[in-house]
Amino acid sequence: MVSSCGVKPEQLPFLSHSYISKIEFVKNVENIKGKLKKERFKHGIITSPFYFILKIKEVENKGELFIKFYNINGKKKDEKSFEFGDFGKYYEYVICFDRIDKLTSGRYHYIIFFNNRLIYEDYLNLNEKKG
Amino acid sequence: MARLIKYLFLSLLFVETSVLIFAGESLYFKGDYFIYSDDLDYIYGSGKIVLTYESLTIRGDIVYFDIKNLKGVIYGDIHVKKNEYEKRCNALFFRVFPLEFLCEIYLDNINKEGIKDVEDFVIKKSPDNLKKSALYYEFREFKINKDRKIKAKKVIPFVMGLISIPLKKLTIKRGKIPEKTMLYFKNINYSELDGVSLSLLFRLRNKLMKGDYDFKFYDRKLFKNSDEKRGVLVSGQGGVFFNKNKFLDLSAFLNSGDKSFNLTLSHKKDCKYFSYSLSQNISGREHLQTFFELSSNLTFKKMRYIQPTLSFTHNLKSSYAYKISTPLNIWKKMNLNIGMERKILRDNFRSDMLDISTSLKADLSLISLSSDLNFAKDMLEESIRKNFSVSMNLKPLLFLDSNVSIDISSFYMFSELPYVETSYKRITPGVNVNVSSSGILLPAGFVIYPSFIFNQVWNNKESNSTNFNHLLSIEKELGKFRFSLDYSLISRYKSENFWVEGYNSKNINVNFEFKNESNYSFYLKFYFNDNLALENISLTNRVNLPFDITLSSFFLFYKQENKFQSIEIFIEKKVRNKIKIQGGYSLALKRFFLKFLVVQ
Repeated sequence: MVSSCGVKPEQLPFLSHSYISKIEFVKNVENIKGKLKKERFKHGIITSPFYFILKIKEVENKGELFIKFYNINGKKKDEKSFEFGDFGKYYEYVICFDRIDKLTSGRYHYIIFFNNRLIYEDYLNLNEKKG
Repeated sequence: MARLIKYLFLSLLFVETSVLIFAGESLYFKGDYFIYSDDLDYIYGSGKIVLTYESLTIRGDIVYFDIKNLKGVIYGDIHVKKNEYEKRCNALFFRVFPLEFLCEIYLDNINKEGIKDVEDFVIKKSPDNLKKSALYYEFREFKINKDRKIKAKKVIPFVMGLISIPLKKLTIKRGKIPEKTMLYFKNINYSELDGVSLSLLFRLRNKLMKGDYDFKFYDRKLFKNSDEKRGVLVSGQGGVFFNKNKFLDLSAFLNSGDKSFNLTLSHKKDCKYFSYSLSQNISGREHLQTFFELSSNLTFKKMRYIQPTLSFTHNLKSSYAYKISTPLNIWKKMNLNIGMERKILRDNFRSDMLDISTSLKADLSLISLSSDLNFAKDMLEESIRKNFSVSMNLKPLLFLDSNVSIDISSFYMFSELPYVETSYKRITPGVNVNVSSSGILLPAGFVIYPSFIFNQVWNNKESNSTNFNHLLSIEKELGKFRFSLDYSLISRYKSENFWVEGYNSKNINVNFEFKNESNYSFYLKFYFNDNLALENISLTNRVNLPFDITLSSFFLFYKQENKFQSIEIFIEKKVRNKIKIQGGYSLALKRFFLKFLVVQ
């Protein structure tokens, strides 16, 4: 199984690129003294309006993040942006959250740009509100 | 402790070795960082990603690669180059093998270019998810072939989150077993059931015979698991081929421990007008006589509505059975089956039974109906047994926006059994009614779930039984917290001629639940008995710790005896989704314990 050893430290794998560690969609979220108080959707059924919470890890210097929502026909329906960080500083993680209230029920493709580079995309099913 | 050291030593041998040679098409990835989880079969990579496939080169920033489904996505400032062709985009969704991709650019609209049926959806696993695995690898470059075999360079293995020795090259995934005759080493394992075991696969591939046979050599004595000695289990399936067509199916099982075996040879053919099968089974065990049985089956296929089948079984002791059955599809929703079977046993016990049966099943828009009629004649004693049953279920009736559902079903059973020189008849009709609700919203966010079940059986018209079951649940959810109260009242009455006897029993459960599915759960339950006095309190907890370790506990306190009936506290760790290690304290065992369990 092992072919040979002897690897120089600079040749070893090193994770330095920012990545989305977690993304959540919740009914409500509040920042109370640096801690997030979340109210989740019952049975995980997401309806409009909602809040998204993003956790981005391995952040250095200043950062600019965009989240864009496209409908199933590929048309942009909403967008939010965040700016954070300072030059010369390293952040183990950064959490961003905001409210989205323009979207109606349906399937959406959301994409996340960080410093003008795509770093994440996925789909979101937004359910119709009952009652 | 010595047992633990032995186990840890053996666990080092768990890593499956490979004797395969890399060949054929492959994808080559290079970058700053890749992580592969053995449990999740998934790769995440980031930093100056370069994917090379034949003359095609793709550059990007991040890659998510689902190895199991051989599909992935690359993000970033993507640059695709093949000879003169060049393309730039934000996301490139790909599948292999061969490599096919779809490029997407996100402006005010999503612009797509490439193979349209490549799905732009890939399951994402972040490095944080992958690092939760018991075994994962970080590396800087790798090759993957169509058999999912991964060869990586500049690799750091991590076992239970702990860094191991960096390696220059490593085959981290075995890939597919080749289609040729070979003896393949699968693994060395340890479990309470088998002790230490060595598993091998013998793959047979030639013109005449093909098959896969598992050999498991075990030693139960090494850890004093059992008095039973070493042994081997062989199991497998294969076939004998004639002119490239399968002529015989073969399935075999052998256990040297209890000296038992089971071998089945079968031949089947599907022709234009009929199909048939022939099967010979031989099985045996030490101190018992060997059992032989020949089975055959012939089905006529050409008739439109019916397919008569003739079955015949025979063993060496002249015991045999033959059966003729004709499934008849009257129309799509109604099926009638008529059959006749005769079983003649001439062993230590002699019997000769003739069985004639019909069954009718119908699934209509309002009701479903099932009926069986059976006559069984004992040809030796000249006695006849008769059975008839019919059951009818009304489709659920829904009221109040489907919030209330009523299910009604009824049945009628008749049987006549020979009894001394006369016969015994039994008639049993009955009805069941079930009324339930999917929940009624009360003020302050409480939800109430009432349900009522009624069951009546008239047994031979002499003794009747009537049951009532009332259930009432009240629930309230508040974020991670859930409260519920369950009330149950059960009434049973039995009347026989003039007399009626019965009883009621009731109980209340009060439950408090606090949970976050991925991190912890706490479940506190108060149980009140028939007199509505508190009888016991139970508390069940689970907390997920780092490295997939779970801390679990269970407490059961009996109020009337004022003592704990049960206390269980243990930590649990899954290793490669194959073995569970549990360690903790049990009041029932009255000791601390350490267990190794095989995950089924």
